[in-house]
Amino acid sequence: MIAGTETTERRRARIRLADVHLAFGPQPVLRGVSLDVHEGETLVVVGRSGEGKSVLLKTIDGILKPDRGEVWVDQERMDSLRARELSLARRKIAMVFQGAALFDSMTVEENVAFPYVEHGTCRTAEVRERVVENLRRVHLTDPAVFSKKPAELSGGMKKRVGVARALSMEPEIILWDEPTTGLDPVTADAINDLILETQASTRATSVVVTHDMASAFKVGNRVAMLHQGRVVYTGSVEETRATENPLVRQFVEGRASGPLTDGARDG
Amino acid sequence: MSSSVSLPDIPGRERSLLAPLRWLESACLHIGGVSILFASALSRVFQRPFRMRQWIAQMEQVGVHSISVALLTATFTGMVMVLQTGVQLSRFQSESMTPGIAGIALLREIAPVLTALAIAARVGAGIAAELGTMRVTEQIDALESMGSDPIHYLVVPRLVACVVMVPALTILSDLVGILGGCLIGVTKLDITLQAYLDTTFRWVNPEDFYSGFLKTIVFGGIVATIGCYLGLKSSGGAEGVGTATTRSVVVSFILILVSDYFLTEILLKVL
Repeated sequence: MIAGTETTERRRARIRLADVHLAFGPQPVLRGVSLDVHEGETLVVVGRSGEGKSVLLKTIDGILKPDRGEVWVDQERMDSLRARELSLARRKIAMVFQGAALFDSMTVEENVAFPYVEHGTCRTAEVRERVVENLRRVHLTDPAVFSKKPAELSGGMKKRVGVARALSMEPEIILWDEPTTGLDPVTADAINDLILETQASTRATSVVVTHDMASAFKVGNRVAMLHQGRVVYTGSVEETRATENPLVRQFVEGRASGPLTDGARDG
Repeated sequence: MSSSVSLPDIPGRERSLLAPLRWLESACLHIGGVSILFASALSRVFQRPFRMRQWIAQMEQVGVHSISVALLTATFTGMVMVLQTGVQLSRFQSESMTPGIAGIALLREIAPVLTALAIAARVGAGIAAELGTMRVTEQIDALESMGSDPIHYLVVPRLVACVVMVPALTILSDLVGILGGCLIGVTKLDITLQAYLDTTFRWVNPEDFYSGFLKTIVFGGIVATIGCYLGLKSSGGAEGVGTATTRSVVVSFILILVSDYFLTEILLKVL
């Protein structure tokens, strides 16, 4: 394993996973993941489909509890908090879901207002103002969009609304699940720009899960690779571009044959 | 997650021998899951914040939108009850007893059970489909990740709505069922309106009404809890949601009919 840059290592770890194991029934998904995410950095987790990248994010957010190991966010151990404490701990973390996971029954405006309304984090009179501001930050300024239901939006717009809703959490940590998957290259790049803008404006610590290497190199400070339920590589973006690690090289170059697929040719 | 204890995978003939044990294991896990969900929801009913908007919206969904199906069911059931009872009793020249017998049957059994079954088919299936879709599209994960409690936010309003509105609809079904029966008694059995109503009020006691009414509180709880449980447990996309929806109807029907017998046993002793 290649270590990250020295500057990164010196910073405080806001997220720490230690020997995390998690299985769905007889199927192991995470088999001893250990990982640190430092304050203010954007760690990109890459890996093949089905390697447990999204599961890793949900484990950090406390949605899934590991069978073994420890998940720390700041001073709180997420895997052993009680429901009420976990609910409070989650309020500084925002997750942007792969399919946006907007509430079908609500309009765009209601979706983005949800964290404010639910947790009473701002005065009722200010909610609309903040919602409009958050939608403006994701470049949704047309008032006609505000009253639309998620089913009426395109994939790219849904992602933007998902980001706006995440911004309403006023998060210190943002977890991005496959932000560019399923989008055309132009929209995908616009979403990458949006991630960078969000990082710049919130200064949040971020974990981005993706298998899109163009996105990984554009938005990340550091890259970790998940393979067979373990982190097999971590390194800065520059180190990752230059690495000779055969697993990473095969993934970056998108080759069908190599150590990633040896003995597991499932397409 | 693999937190639950499961029987090991055994290939071949042993697998079929272990099938009943696996079924039993699965049944116990589901019974446990439903009980925990019900207890969790019950413990959160009086927990702040009170989501009155959602409670009212769900009551409208469960009650107001089900009025037509419940009343249609009750009207025609009352009509057919009186027709069948009247025709059979006329063989013994006892058709004058028809309003009383039909009234008691309607209030004690027919209206509560059929109303609950109609709500299970309409509302229970809807709850399972809605929550199932929310589960497979990660909306429930999103709710959790934003620090909200899905049981407090989604299950409690539905449970409250069903527990309040199924009994309310049953009262309407009782009335409409008796009126439907009255229509048939007057037009087909040559019983006068005055005689029909007199016999009904003479035969039917408040206990008959209470007996049916109390059962529907339990039936409402069953419809909401089963719909929510199977919806929240959905997995595997559209197919999983479809399976959850079908199962919620089947399981609710079975539990309503089985619990009806035991509740009747208890209420006959208590009332």
